[in-house]
Amino acid sequence: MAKNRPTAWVGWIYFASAMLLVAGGIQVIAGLTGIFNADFYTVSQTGNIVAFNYTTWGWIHLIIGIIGVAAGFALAVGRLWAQVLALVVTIIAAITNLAFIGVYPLWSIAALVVNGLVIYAITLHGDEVRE
Amino acid sequence: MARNNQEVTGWVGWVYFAGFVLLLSGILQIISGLSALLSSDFYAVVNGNVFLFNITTWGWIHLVLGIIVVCTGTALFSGATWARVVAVLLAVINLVTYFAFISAYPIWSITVMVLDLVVIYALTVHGGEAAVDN
Repeated sequence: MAKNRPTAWVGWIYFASAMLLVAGGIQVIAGLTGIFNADFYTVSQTGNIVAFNYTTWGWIHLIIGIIGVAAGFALAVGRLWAQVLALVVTIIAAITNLAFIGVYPLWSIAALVVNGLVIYAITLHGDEVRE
Repeated sequence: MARNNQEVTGWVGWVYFAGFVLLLSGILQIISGLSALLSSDFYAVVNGNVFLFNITTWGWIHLVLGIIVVCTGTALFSGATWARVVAVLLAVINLVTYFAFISAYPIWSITVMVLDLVVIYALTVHGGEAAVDN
């Protein structure tokens, strides 16, 4: 099959790409909130599983979010390394979101759902784009 | 067309849904842009100053964005690729915006976020079907 000929299944990689943009954007917002407006997180810092302070958490979320957005754009190009990077970033992101669930359950759950969709789209449909 | 071998599924309906939503919001934005340009007294703004720009500049911004959104919505019905790219980006921005809005109104935000997710899925995975369907 010609390399750049789009067919139905290529759509999945664009779906994964869009979901990664969403997940990255969500995490950037969570990160900026931690850095600039930590009072927004009303839970005491000990209520967090991993008790970094919120500024540290903010930077962690921000950096992962930015890498996620970059990986989201790279995914759309259809390269294998982009898929590997996207998977690794998403798994790390899911772990940080899970650790943050006690702080703001709704945000973490929304982020985790989107993380799950990224992993699903890449693992089950990612290989089709590489044919 | 490389996508002509694609089977048309029920998901194509959600592509049209996205098209109608874009049409509607684009028309509303054009109306608010024209109101700002033609009768800026309509907006109760002190000294003609709003956030960052004055009301005339905002009027032009709304007008231009509204026209882009209406064109995108119209082009979605024909399954144009660029329209799907723009529409997906708009949906991504909308979804992230409503994420930040969760604390203000959880149910509303989550409803919009789920709709955005469905639209993104339909546009990326089944978007090409609109071109076949016509």
